Amino acid sequence: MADLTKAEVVSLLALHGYDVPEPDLTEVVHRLNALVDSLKGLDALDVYHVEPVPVQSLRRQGHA
Amino acid sequence: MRDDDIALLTIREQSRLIESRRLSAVELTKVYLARIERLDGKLHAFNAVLADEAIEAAHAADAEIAAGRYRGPLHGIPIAAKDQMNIKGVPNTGGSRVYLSNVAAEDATIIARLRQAGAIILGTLATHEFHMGTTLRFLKAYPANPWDLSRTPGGSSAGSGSSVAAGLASGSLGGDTGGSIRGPAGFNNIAGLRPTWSRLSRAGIFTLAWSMDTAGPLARSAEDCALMLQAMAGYDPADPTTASEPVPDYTAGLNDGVKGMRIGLVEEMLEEIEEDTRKAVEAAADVLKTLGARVERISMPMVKKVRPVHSAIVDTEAASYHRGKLLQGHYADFDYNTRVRLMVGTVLPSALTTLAMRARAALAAEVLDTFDRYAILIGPTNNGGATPIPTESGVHSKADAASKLLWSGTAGGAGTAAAARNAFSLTGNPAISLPCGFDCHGLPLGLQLAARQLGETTLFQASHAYQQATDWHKRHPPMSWA
Repeated sequence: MADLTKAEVVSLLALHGYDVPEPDLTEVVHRLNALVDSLKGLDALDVYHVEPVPVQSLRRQGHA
Repeated sequence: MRDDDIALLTIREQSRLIESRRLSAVELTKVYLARIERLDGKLHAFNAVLADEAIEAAHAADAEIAAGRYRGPLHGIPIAAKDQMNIKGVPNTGGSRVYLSNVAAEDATIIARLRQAGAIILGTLATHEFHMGTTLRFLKAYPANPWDLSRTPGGSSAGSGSSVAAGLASGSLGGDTGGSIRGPAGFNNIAGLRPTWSRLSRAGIFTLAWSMDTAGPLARSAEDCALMLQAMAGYDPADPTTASEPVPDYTAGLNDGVKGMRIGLVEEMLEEIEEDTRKAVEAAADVLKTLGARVERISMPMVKKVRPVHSAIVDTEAASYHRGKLLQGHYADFDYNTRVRLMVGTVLPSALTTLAMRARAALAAEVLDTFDRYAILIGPTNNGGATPIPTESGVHSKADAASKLLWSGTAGGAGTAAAARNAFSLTGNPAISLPCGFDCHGLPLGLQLAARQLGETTLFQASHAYQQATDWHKRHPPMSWA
């Protein structure tokens, strides 16, 4: 899948109320595309049976 | 004893002198204030020095002790706190120009508890902005590492690491969301504990990412970390996420040793690690074996996946936390790297963030299963010694960004060592960094040990056994630059 373009990222930021200047914007685009690619790599883990609960129960880990 | 020797004693050693009145709190506080005056012009560890308040508190401590009201091992001990925590009447900036005039109305709970234990609050310590670990423009100068002034002391608890290593305080407080206590501890040759998430109150402390943030102690030994944690731990109604479980006596089992203890050396945490670090960690494992531990090499495949997981969750939580200030016209007041990360966190697709949260839960399951079989897990804290002080973000292309994968590890060594720190932040487990050797440049290396949630007692037991058998933590920076 193609990377997000700078124009697309500008639109996404505008949706959230932000107007980001250069050189920040160029770096946001680079970092966003890199992070999106890395996260899409998690699909290979087959984690779709796992509930996205942030921190596991303390009880299950017990108290050492 | 010379002032320089007093300054580098452990809290345990200083407390024995104070209790027996061979050293006064005022004398000790003056030693540190003089060293700060002499050395901090090059280290830039402190954002604010509370000299008058500290001397006043030291006089009060001495009077109490003289009257037979000794409170315990922190009584009269000067502690400095990361500029992230509320100290009544003092600016809490979070290391940011956005909050320069944010004067705290009350102490953070953990500061109040330290005072209750008799500790003296010495000042606020330099931090990367909002604890992200990637700041380029600090409030003062970029903090320096006392082992080599051209190197970073690590982040985000930069001043918390360098101040203790250089003998500018007996101990310090840091904050850890992805390794911000452990990384600086490793780079500065001191001990640094990330407690179980929920063990310490977060009330009165700036947030980076709610689901991972915790404060913690940095000191010149694991035992000192135990003493500091003891004073601060426990339920706080002002932070309903704090654990209500009773606080154990963290020093009771310090001398129980590791005989028969099952310890896992995590193979993935050693992948792509530079040679000096690998050898130091393997040598540490051998020491633990010699002491009677059953050390086995184990595999935890999820550890290799955590870097983007950690970045996605931290940056989206941080983007939400700072949204108000960003929309109120403060965008340009944030450091360059901070605001770029906040914008990435703002527009990252929510489905991918939730995917990261699923991967986090899968990692937690792997950690839970592993701790069913092992009491302690070990690996490196950093990948090599302290890195040179950066002057730019270093991201000029998507490939640059991908190679860092991602930015939150740049101040603490990239790659799998950052993943090793991030992993226990994501799962909320306690983890400590201890000195374990030096690289070919003479820079300190760190050993990370982790335990079950609320398993700090076991963590201190193993750490103390290791430090009783080694002397890495007794080595201090030569500071020929002073």
